[in-house]
Amino acid sequence: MNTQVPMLKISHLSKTFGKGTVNEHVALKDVTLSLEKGDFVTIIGSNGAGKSTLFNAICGTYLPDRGSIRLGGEDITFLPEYKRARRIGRVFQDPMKGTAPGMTIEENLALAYTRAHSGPFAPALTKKKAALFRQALARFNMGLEDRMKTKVGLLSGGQRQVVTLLMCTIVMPDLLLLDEHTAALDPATAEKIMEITNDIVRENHLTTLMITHNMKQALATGSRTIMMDSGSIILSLEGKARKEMTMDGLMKLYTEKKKEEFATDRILLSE
Amino acid sequence: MLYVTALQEGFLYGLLAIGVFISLRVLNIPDLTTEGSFGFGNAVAAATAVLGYPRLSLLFALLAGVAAGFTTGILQTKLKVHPVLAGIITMSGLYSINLMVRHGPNLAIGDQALFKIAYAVLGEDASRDDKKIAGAVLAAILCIGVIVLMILFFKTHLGMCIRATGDNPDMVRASSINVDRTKIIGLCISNGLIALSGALIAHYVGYSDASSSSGTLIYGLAAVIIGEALFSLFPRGRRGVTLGLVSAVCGSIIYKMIVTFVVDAELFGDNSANLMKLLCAVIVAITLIIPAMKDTVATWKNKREARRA
Repeated sequence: MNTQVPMLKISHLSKTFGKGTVNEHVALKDVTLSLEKGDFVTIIGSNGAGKSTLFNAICGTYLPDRGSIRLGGEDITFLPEYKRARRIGRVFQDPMKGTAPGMTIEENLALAYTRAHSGPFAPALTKKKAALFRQALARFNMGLEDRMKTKVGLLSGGQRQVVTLLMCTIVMPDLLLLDEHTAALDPATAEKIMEITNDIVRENHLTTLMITHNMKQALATGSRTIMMDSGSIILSLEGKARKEMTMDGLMKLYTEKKKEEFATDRILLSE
Repeated sequence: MLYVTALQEGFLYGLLAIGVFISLRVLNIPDLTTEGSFGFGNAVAAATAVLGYPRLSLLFALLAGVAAGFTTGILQTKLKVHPVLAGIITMSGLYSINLMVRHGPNLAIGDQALFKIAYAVLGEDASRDDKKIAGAVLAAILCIGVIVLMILFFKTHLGMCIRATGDNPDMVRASSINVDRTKIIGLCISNGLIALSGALIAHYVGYSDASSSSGTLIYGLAAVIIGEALFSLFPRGRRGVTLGLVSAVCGSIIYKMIVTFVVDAELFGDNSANLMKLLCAVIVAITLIIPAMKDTVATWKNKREARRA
């Protein structure tokens, strides 16, 4: 792929829910963001800041009101959800969301694997594929490789997230979206999943966006951190400034930005 | 010999059970098209056979069912009609269409009935019992063939996508599968098989009749549920589509056996034959109530023990 073209380019993206009603809510306000191939960007921000809406717009769950999204140079702004899913892997916060509970581990993986590889009537699972999946799971050291024929519904949250992560990356996507994918797990498991995530992203040079509420994790992971508030990107940290940033510093920056906004609100109201 | 006939009917209606199993358990959609597509297959098969194409009639019936499933599928997905209503709409519409196909409430197939043609192969002097056994064997071969085809189909990529659609639509939507398409294909297959069952029944009884499809939905449900109860000995984690397909047909056969027994033994006196649908409803209701009853009993026991301590 041409290295001159950014892997993900979001330009002036806006989305308002319930326009013209009392419930009008500006979820995204003129968001512009560009990721080069291999960039790993973490996103922080309070609830309702627009982080998940941004992901939903990228995936096509909602169509934006204005702006464009380009993936590897191709305009995907209005492409149907299932068509862009071929190139975008997404792991949700809820471990229940990413896998089919009534199907076995290998069937789930086969589903993710064959979507890029075979015609509709090709057998979804062959011995060769099963061996490949076993091998891929074995490296996570979670013992899942010995439970290939277990239904995913019987696994723990952490185990399901590992399966989901592997499903998203078994056919390398152009873009990996992680939506607080460790938030529902206990601390030890969360750390383990984060480790696995880092390994996969680094080894495959994956372009990745990760939403997190854990500021420490946001600063420690990846190469850039952006902060969203009320639908806009209000802060972007990288390089040295990011390295030197502390959690206290980040909190301070956040409150300052909030105050600024509050001040303008007050001016508006007093007029 | 009564039970051989029951076995034959069990296999023929087994295709209906497979169809209901696919929509109800695999796709997880309550599809009420069933009675419409069963009657459609029934009528189309009779009309085609009367024209002199008994073998082709099965194919036409299958296609008729696929069309019915397609209609319900489009209503449900692209046009966003509630699944239950979509099925009811198609079913009601088909009732009139079926009357038109038959040119009236009933249509006799006569000598063109497939089973009659098959019996002729046995020769003139074959006894009634021989014919019954031959019929049962033929039905078994047809039904088992369909089961094998379906088992293989659900192992293909498309089959896997259909299973995943019923299992976790959220996940499927986020992966690269077109949920609308898999739902429509699933409903086409389900109703195609139901129509095929209707066609075979027309050939079996020798005529197509407006009342032949009434009660088929509850019959399909009963077969699926009885089959599941029977196979509940298998651990839950192991139960998949393969087992489900086999158990639905077993449920169908067992149900027919129960009916034969009740009627034969005149369990409810002279009314036995008339009470079949009530019996069917009661069996389905009881099986569906059991989990709730178990819960209530467990809570009750729990309370009593807590009080005692």
